[in-house]
Amino acid sequence: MNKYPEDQEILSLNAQGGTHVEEAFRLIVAKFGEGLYHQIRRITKNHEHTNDILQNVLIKVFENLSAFKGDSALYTWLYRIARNETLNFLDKEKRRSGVDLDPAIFEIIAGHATLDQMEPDKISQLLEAAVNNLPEKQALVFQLKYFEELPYKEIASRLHVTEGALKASFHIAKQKIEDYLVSHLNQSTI
Amino acid sequence: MEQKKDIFDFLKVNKTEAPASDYFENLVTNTLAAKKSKAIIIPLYKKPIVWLTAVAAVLIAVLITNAFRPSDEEQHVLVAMNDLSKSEINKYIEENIDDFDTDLISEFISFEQIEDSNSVKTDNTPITIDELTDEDILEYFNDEGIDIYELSDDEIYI
Repeated sequence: MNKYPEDQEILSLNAQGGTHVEEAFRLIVAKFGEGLYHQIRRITKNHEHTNDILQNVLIKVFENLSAFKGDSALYTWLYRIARNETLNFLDKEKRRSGVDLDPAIFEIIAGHATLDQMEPDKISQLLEAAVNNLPEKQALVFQLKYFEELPYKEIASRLHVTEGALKASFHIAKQKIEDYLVSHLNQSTI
Repeated sequence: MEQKKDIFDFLKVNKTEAPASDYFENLVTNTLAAKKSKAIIIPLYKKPIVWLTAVAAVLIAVLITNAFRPSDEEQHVLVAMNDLSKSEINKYIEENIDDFDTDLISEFISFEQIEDSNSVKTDNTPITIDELTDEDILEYFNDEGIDIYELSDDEIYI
């Protein structure tokens, strides 16, 4: 199923030092780079910003990979670094004037009384805030399942958890996000 | 019966644009290059011991250089002293001897010079009381206008 080595093999390669460190780093980018790219770009809505953030993320990964103890799955660790870097970037960007080049990440399908009155960008902002309010693991599961549309089996392999636990986590995450959206949409339309 | 729909059933996700096929390979190359260029500069200054040692070495070198080099003001004084004749210096000292304290004078006189000066007697060389005769003492009292019969016992003793 997976053409890339398991996390532990990559970490062992890195632990050998020398040229193996660079080889391990290349494998990490090949295996997880695209997921990180989409994770960041959905928030920045801009390739240039995504590129800058992702490069910073990868520098941190390269610098700290030897210190990573494997307490969590490698992708969970990468996700955390990317999330923090992106939020820091957005915080700085608020002081400048960020330019959204990408279209909204949602299209609204007609038929929902409240959503029909909202702009897709507004929905995107609310959803982003709702995801940021989630605990880290739920946010990660929601991203991989809802945005990346990965099958549970692959997510389970990436995050080193059972499919049952993933399904429960995704269900709870969805419920929390829906509650957040409905609550804020109602406030917006009052 | 119609199945209950949640809010996500009314939202369709637009996939974010995928980067070019060689993007990630280039990203790795750029990241490693950026990391290496940083590595050349940063580690030396990130290590406090190396940094502090370097600063201490520079400070010591500067202090040593300055300690053994006369300041500009001192250099001007030395040049001016070389232009003076010995008689001009002696004249200045005689006129301003009260401005010199013994500590200052002693800094410029070597131990050998002091020894030599003690062995040569001049008109101004101090003499001890043992070297005076009774006639010398009486002559001194006469010169000073002192009547020895009016002196008290304590004063005679002195």
